[in-house]
Amino acid sequence: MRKTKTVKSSLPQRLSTEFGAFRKNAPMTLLALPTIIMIFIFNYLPLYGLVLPFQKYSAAQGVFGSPFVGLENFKFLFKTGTIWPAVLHTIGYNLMFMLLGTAMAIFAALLLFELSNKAQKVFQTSLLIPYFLSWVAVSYIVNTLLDYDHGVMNQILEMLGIEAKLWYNEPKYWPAILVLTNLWKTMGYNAVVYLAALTGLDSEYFEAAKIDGASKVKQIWYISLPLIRPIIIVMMILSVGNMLRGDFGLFYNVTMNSPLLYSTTDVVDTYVYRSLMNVSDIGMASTTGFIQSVVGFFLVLGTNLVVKKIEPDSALF
Amino acid sequence: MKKGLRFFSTAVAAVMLAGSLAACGGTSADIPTITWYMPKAIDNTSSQELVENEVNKIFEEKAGARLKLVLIDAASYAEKMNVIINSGEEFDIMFVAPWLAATSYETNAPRGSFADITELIDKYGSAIVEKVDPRAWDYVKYDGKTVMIPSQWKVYQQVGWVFKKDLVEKYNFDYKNVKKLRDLEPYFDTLLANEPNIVPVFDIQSPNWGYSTITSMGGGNLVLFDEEKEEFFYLMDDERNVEDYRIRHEWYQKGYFPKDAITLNASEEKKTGKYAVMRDTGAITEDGSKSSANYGFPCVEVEIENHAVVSADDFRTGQAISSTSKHPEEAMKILNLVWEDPYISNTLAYGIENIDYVYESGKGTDHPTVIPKEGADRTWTLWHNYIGPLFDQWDSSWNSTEALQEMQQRNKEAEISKKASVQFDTTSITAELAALTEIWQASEKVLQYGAMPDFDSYIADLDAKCENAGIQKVIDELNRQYAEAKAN
Repeated sequence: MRKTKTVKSSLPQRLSTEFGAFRKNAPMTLLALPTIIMIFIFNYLPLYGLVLPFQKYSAAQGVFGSPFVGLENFKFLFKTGTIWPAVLHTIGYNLMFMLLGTAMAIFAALLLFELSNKAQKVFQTSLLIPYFLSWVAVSYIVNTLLDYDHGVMNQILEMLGIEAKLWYNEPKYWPAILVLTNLWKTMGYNAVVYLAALTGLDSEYFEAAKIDGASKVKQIWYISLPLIRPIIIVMMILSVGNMLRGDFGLFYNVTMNSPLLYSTTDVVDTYVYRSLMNVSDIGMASTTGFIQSVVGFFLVLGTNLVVKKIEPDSALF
Repeated sequence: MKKGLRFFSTAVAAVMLAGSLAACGGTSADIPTITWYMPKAIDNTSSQELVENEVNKIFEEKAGARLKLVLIDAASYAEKMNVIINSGEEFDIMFVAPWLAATSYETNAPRGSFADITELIDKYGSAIVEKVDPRAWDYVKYDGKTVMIPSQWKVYQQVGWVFKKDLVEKYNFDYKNVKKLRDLEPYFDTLLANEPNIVPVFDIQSPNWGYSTITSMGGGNLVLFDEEKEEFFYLMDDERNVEDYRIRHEWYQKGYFPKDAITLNASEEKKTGKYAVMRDTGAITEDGSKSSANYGFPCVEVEIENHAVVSADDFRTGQAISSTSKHPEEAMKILNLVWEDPYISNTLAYGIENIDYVYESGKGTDHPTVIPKEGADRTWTLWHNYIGPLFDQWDSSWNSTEALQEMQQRNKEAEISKKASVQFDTTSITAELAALTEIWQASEKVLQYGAMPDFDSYIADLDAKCENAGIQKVIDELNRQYAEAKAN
């Protein structure tokens, strides 16, 4: 943006350079076209929906004809104050997911990197499989572990002479269960990203280090980690944008939506779902998404700004 | 900036391309096709085309239109209709029910999603007018205009308790004389002592002592209407309700309810035969035949004295014509034929002869008896009361003329809620109702099974949450509107 301000050029001039660049990159652009179209249709076209939270929407009047009601629709969110625990849970869980998730994924990537090609494929694939399961399927897997009558956990406990637990009635265990489940599901995907970064590193660094007698741990600490740092930072910046978004699939399905667990598992998305599931009010329903997007937008901008100050080369833009 | 412009130009080209492709679609038809949205009654609907062809022979001739049924899984019907309605999609008829909130009168009538059919009914709806319960029309008008066709329906509410037959026989339990929850306790204790594999009770409905609900406005059962005092009140402000939930909590602690009740899948669990007492499945019969068929093992059942009154919602199940319909006249003609000709409504419900059902007797008469395919063999089913004219139903294992006549009689005798005729406007309390809905969703199951760790502190906490959510404002506003409406 700053560049266009300083370099002033006339419109025809600019258009001709645009066109030149376009022609030069035509094959690449063509390759990217499907993605570009998809992003445009699914991410840019629906932007007009940003007016919905401020309207009393009715289909008969449409998006452009419905009356504006100011901040009326936002009232239900903050009316009772009961949303704040859900907000705290959302941020807390997301921080845990981000920090632990990144650490574990890097750890896994470093281990995978040391394996032979064949072994790497096997472990990489088996780590990646959970990522493709839906949360509903995962919720049943967790349920076979935690079911009261037939669950694996309770059978182990009973074998050890400990009384079986009603897992779905006891909120205190769930932060750990949810973090573990999420780690299990997402770690493989993130590990692949970091593994790709590691594979792209120049092998000469490692050879030189080996000749100098550096241990594996030293190589990781002084070569691998610093070199993939930009990727780590980019991944972090991107995930910060979802800080206020609770993964509905995880928090609704895996907990079997047990109301007794809400004191530790309720997130913004499940809270709003309960509030509006019977109301069918488009205006009110879109408020949460609006807030989450706006907060996410500024978080990404803010984080990027901080990164830019500290380490300009790693910033996204 | 450069990048942006490039993105933009390709994107515009893409959209133009997509637009021109879309314009190529669509075929021309001489007579209109009327779309009718309806939740599926069973998963397998393979006879759909045959059924449509059969009824369309009549519709093409008498209504000048064809019918296309669009069947949606019952579980996602409300959600999908929500999208269809709110995106302004063009369609003709939809099934409307208060418990499917997104489709309900309460949600859609004020927003103008339902077409005004006052004149259409006068013009083309003679059979409908003849058969619909005349009282029902008062509750399906909005701003004086009729917006839906109420189905024939069981409007009164029964409470039935279902007992597993082998167990009441084995322990010689006098189930016919139970009246209240406490009467069951001795039986439960016997079961706990003697039947290690049986859980005494799965789910049980408490009788109504004379209140009505505002469920379709939101807030679950947290705000109720006392029919005698004629005022709205908070659920837990009446000791009778607190007492009821306290009993449930005691039951949970004693192990009468399943320990993991909160997360059990009710529809699967009830068929396991692990439970000695369960709730009724909608129709209570002297010999328990309905429940036996539904649960899959022999049951007996007893109807519990109940003081429920009929609310406006009980009349608001039926069909609406969409305000986006291009052919409301044809849609009304088709609906009138469905109500007029029992052959049509029964074909829509039972399907095709020799494929979905066979005649047992009386073929060709007005009151034949048929044998529909059962269970997994079924290839077609729609419920009569979802279609509309329930009392035109041919006799079968689903229902008998006697049962339907009794239902009609009890419908007539049923007392209608005093608040039914009042048109409430909830726009000023939407935020409060949403907050109360959230609270109810979070506590309903816990209350139902008494699964809270400590009853008194749970109720105190619930009281505080409701107060914070502005329950008093909701109650005051509804009382004010009620008093105002009654004064006029």
